[in-house]
Amino acid sequence: MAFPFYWMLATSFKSPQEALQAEPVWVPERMKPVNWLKAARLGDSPLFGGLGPGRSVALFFPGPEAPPPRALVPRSPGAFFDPVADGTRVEVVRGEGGWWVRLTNTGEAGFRRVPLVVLWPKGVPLEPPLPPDARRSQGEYWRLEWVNAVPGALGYVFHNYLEAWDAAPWGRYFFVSFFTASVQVAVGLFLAALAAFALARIPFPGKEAVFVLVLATMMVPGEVLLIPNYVLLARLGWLDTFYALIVPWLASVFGIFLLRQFYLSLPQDLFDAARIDGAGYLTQLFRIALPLSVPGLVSYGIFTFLGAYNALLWPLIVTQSPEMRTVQLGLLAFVSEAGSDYGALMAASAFVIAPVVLGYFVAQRQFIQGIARTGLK
Amino acid sequence: MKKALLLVAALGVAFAQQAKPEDVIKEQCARAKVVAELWHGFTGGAPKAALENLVVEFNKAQQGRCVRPVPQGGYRDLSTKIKAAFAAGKVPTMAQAFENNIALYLEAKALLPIESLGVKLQGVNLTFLNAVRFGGVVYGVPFNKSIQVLYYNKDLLKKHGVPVPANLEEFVAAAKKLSRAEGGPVYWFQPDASTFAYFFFNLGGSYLKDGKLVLNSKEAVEALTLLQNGVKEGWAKPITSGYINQNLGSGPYAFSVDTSAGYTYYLRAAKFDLGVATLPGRTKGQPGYGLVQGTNLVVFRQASKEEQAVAKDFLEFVLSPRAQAVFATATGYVPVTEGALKDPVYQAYAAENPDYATIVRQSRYAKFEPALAEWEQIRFDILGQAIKEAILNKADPKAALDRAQKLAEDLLSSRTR
Repeated sequence: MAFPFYWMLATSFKSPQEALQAEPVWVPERMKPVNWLKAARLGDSPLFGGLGPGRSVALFFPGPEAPPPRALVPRSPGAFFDPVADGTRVEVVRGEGGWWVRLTNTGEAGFRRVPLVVLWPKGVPLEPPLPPDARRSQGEYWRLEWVNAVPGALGYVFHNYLEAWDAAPWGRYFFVSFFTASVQVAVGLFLAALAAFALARIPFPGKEAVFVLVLATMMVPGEVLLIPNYVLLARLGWLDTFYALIVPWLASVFGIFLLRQFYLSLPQDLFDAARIDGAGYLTQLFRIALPLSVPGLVSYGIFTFLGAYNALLWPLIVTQSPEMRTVQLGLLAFVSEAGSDYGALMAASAFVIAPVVLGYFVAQRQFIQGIARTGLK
Repeated sequence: MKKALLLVAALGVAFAQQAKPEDVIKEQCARAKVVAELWHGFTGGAPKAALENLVVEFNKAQQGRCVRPVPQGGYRDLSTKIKAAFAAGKVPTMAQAFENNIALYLEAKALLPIESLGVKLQGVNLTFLNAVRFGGVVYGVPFNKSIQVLYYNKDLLKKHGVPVPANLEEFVAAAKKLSRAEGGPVYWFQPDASTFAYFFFNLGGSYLKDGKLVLNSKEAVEALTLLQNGVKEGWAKPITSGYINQNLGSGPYAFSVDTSAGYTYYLRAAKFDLGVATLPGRTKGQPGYGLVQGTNLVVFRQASKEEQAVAKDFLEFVLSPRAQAVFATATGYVPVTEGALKDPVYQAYAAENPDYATIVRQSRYAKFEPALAEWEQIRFDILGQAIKEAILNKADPKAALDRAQKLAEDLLSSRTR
């Protein structure tokens, strides 16, 4: 359990090349404090880096006079304009027993990131000012690549987190996920409690048959219902709304079953006593059955919440505007048909699971308390 | 506490940055009266960003109209969603579609002929165009097309004095020689229908014989046997977990035949000098045929006249040299028009990245898988399974392909029309 978690966290700090190595990199360069100090020297601000208009940054590479290295700011492919590549002057000058690579912002806006490529002759010992994010062979040179040559300490360490956060409107995604999951839990609990109470405690003809029928719907795989449900929602005009995300999941057979079993385990005497005192069914449910079935409610709540929070296929099918998408769909942004950006994916995963992990610890205490309480009864 | 708050505020400032294409499009479409939706299967990475950049650029020149790209998960999710949308009667204006998707959508007569919209298709790669021609009518605009190329390890070839192989024979001989010298298989492949297609096509195979699907032809058995023998003889290594570019570093690597869409990922992962060459073919003078993958843009009949007009302009924009050059260089896909090759953006990029010119050259030697409505299922669940059985479970290639043929025939004949 701890190992995959460590792998996720470690990968969230890896450069693309480190993340793609078949032999695992246990301690990525970004996790080494000595590199934080090096990164703090690069960029306008020691913490956040950046390169303001007219400002320069110089990177020093100790090395002999010949052969000289080459340096360039790579163009980001696919953009109609590239202000960083066009607005950065790159000079390679000799001095102090090595080579200075000087980057100057000649534009009018500040740059948060300035990528850099240095071609360093093979066979010459290399002591870079900051470990390169990628190092590969290119003819007679080593091609050294930095995704950001002006990172600052935090910008360096949390590069993947910043990239991941920028890749999608996460604030909105978190809101949609939490809202959807919370409403599903609250309304789902209410409905399941009512149905389960009727099936457990209210005598009526055909009760067993109704229960079996309810259970039978559990056997239908969700995927089979995907298209019929979609069509239904489309006819109701609910596609791409909260209704589509929430309503189909409100009545949960699993919840009914779980709570029914809980209610059945309560002694009948309690309900008889309540009836003698004049309590109706609703009073019996809310004053007696529910308070005694907290562990059941909590575990159902956890399952529902996690189910809703982790759902991928359903939100993908029924929503399409960014305003209605959930955190799990946000994670898709880092996966493509020919490869994945693991660093950013793991960074995004880390902040997506953070609330769940926190919630787990809180709910765990509740859960244990709930069990302890029932044990005393 | 104050310090902590300051830090959080500073982080917030650091997180804020210039407007993302997605937000720009949202704003452009908020003001537009006519919105043409384009459903696509780019989940993220360079392709999604490049498409959004294209759309932003297109929308800038529009008055009261816009294109809105809507990501729908991966390609299989996209086709599921379009099927559901058919059932619900609410399809978008445009969508990405593979050739087999087009065949399926045409059964419902859901697509508009591209030329009936008035889109001019002169200069579009003919091989790509013929693949979207059904009954003589073009139903799609080739969009993100990738082609198989030969990736190789320049350092390793140089170390052993092996030239880049020019034909299949040389390829096998080079792989054998390097594998012996390095003590492990150097040709890496994914045991799937794409790898198989490369060998199959270059041994002279064709999936359709007199309009009938044949998976167990002589050439198919020969291709699968060659791969199986490669594993047995120790010069070929099947990669079963993840992409090939995720496994670099786990042993000696010299060659792989893989899609050009993976180029940027290979570059990221490789520590060696990565080379890209045209595929070894049957003879020396001419490159081998590569499998073309990737989608086309289609326009749905249900779209309103105004939306169709936007679609027409957008498709013409997509085919313009600059748009082609920008999109292709950003993604590793192949430009689909010759005009793009004269664009300065393309020329500057190709001068800096000679590999890319190789990819474009390879795209002239392209072959397609059959455009059958059922192909998606056949390729993954039937043919793909047969290949895995032969490579991973050492099943007899002929027996495995015979079984696949039978399953495919059952699938094709049991279809209700």
